[in-house]
Amino acid sequence: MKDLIRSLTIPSGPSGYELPIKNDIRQIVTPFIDECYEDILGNLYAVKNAKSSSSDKTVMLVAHMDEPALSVIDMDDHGFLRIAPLGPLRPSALVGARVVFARTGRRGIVGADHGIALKDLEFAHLFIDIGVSNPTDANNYAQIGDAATFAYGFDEIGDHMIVGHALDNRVGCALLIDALQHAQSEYTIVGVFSAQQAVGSRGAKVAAHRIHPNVSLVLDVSPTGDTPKSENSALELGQGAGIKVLDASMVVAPKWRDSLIEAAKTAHARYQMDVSPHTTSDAGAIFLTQDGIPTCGLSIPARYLFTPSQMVHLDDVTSAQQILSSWLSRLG
Amino acid sequence: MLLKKLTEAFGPSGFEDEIRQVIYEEIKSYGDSIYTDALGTLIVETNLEAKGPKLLVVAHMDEVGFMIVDINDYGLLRFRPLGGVDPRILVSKPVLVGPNRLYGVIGSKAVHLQEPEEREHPLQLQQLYIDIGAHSREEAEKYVTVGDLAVFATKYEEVGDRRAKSKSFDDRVGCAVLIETLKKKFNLPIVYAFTVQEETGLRGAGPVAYRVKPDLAIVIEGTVCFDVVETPSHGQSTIQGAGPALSVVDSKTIGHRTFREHILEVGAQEGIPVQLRRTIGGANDIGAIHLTGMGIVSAAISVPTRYIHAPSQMISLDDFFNTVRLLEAVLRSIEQGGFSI
Repeated sequence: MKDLIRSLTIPSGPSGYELPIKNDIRQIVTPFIDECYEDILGNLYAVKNAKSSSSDKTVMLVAHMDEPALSVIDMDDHGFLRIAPLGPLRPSALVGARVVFARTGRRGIVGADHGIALKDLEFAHLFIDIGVSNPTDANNYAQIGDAATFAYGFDEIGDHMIVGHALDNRVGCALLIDALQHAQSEYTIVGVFSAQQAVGSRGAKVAAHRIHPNVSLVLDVSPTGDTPKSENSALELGQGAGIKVLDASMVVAPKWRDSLIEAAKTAHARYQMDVSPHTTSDAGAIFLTQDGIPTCGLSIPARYLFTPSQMVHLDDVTSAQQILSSWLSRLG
Repeated sequence: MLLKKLTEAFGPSGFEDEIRQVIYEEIKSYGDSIYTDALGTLIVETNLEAKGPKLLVVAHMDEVGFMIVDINDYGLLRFRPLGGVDPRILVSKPVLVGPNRLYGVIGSKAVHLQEPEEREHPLQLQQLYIDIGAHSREEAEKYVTVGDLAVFATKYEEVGDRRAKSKSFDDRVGCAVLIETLKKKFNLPIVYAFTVQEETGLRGAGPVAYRVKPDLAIVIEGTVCFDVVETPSHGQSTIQGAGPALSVVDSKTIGHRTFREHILEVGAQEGIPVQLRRTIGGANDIGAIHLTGMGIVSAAISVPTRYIHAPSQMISLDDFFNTVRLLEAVLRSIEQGGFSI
């Protein structure tokens, strides 16, 4: 699992241009699924048929593959690129950051106008330096509308902690890939590697409309409350996978929340309740689609979201893997 | 004069009756079927039996305006904006109020009477009122009812060299582009929609997209332009006179790259100036349309509009004509199979 996560954190996947990560995922899942296709918003669908062909029920598992990014909005006479955020990035977390353009692979550094205090920093003060000196050269590597993501890759701290700029949500993608490969279910599993989550769960909205499943489960990270002066949350690293109770965009129906708790108990997997009133997830876009879709969520606790160094505990990933597998086998 | 007629018509979000009628009179002899939907959007179907991708071409007909929410003892009207209006630009502006289009002025305390600390802060909404010249609540109530609407009283005028000002180029300029376009014949199934309630949250566009289920959607808008007084290039968004602007990213949409590139290519082939909208703020009906159903390939083409959401919005007439040209050229290119989804 760790190796899978590592390989998934390398390709870039800015919201709206998820191609590099999508191509990799497609290649990984193709051998063990029945069907694979994409849609207009950029979602990748991977379908695994039910064990018995008589079943007509569908479960949609969703993990967003995109990550927050910097979109080029302008270019100056020296080839510096002016940027605006796609998703919830903070200007202060970006100064000096190393980034990579998804379409061209060109690397760059985020710089800031001189003389602006960190607390006053806005995106209008930031630019990306891609090591050129004029717009003609710059155009070969990045054009208006191109997007760059962090370029830090994967690291390990001690025996249990993994760190990466895109653990949100390549950890979820890894769990979804694992489920597609190993899960046994009476339901047809439609795995959706969703696009454009960071800008407001846009991919999930149209995916839910297309699939209209009997039930949906969202795999995503959730911020912990276990670091100095962190926001108040009971979620802790290493205490098990989070079973979503609610987030800012939705409340999970108790029946489906409890189905995950039962699955965790059956699998003897550790879990904690995830109450995240200040974050949103694809679940919020899915459960209100058409006539309403039963939607629940498994969360991987994560520290330092929206920075280049997001941290996750491997035991929590294992717990999530066990709960998901147990839940899928109990469906029906 | 079409732009004058359209921009002077009354039509705050949710109350588009007058502007809808004005547009209807312009287009009633065109199109195979003309109707309104439940929210009030005016829909014109053309050539639906034709082969080729079905297109939805959209401009919103509502404008930012105000609703009267209270009348005080002095006969002054308290109001709230419909749509995004900066309260700092409101004081002293003339407005038209209610079904009789009564003339009024947005008033506040004169500078002479303000305490020094009051002068430090821009006036807020609750310090402003509309004065229709009534002396008392009773007198005002003869003319105005709570729930009545108001809009800026600005007349359409041409200004300087090939520019014009009005209260509502956002998005009556888009409506004008649609009207000019639907008079032309295309061998394509095209549905034109003059949508409602864009300014209060893109409310009209989603239901139209859901009804029409187009393969492609194009929105024609008026968009922000601040190419003035020492603004750095990345703060201007668009440049007046530099042609229609294509959206790349805004607060509700990441633009469809392939469709945008096709439109840029068409512009280059036809010698029509086209620019990219260089900012990320704001949104238009595409934000609702592109997420409808299983997703819709879409693009937004905008006429740069200085002083948008304010009493005197300014456009370049060349940008307007070039937008008409660009839309026709894009539709012709699709007609000839030049763009496939």
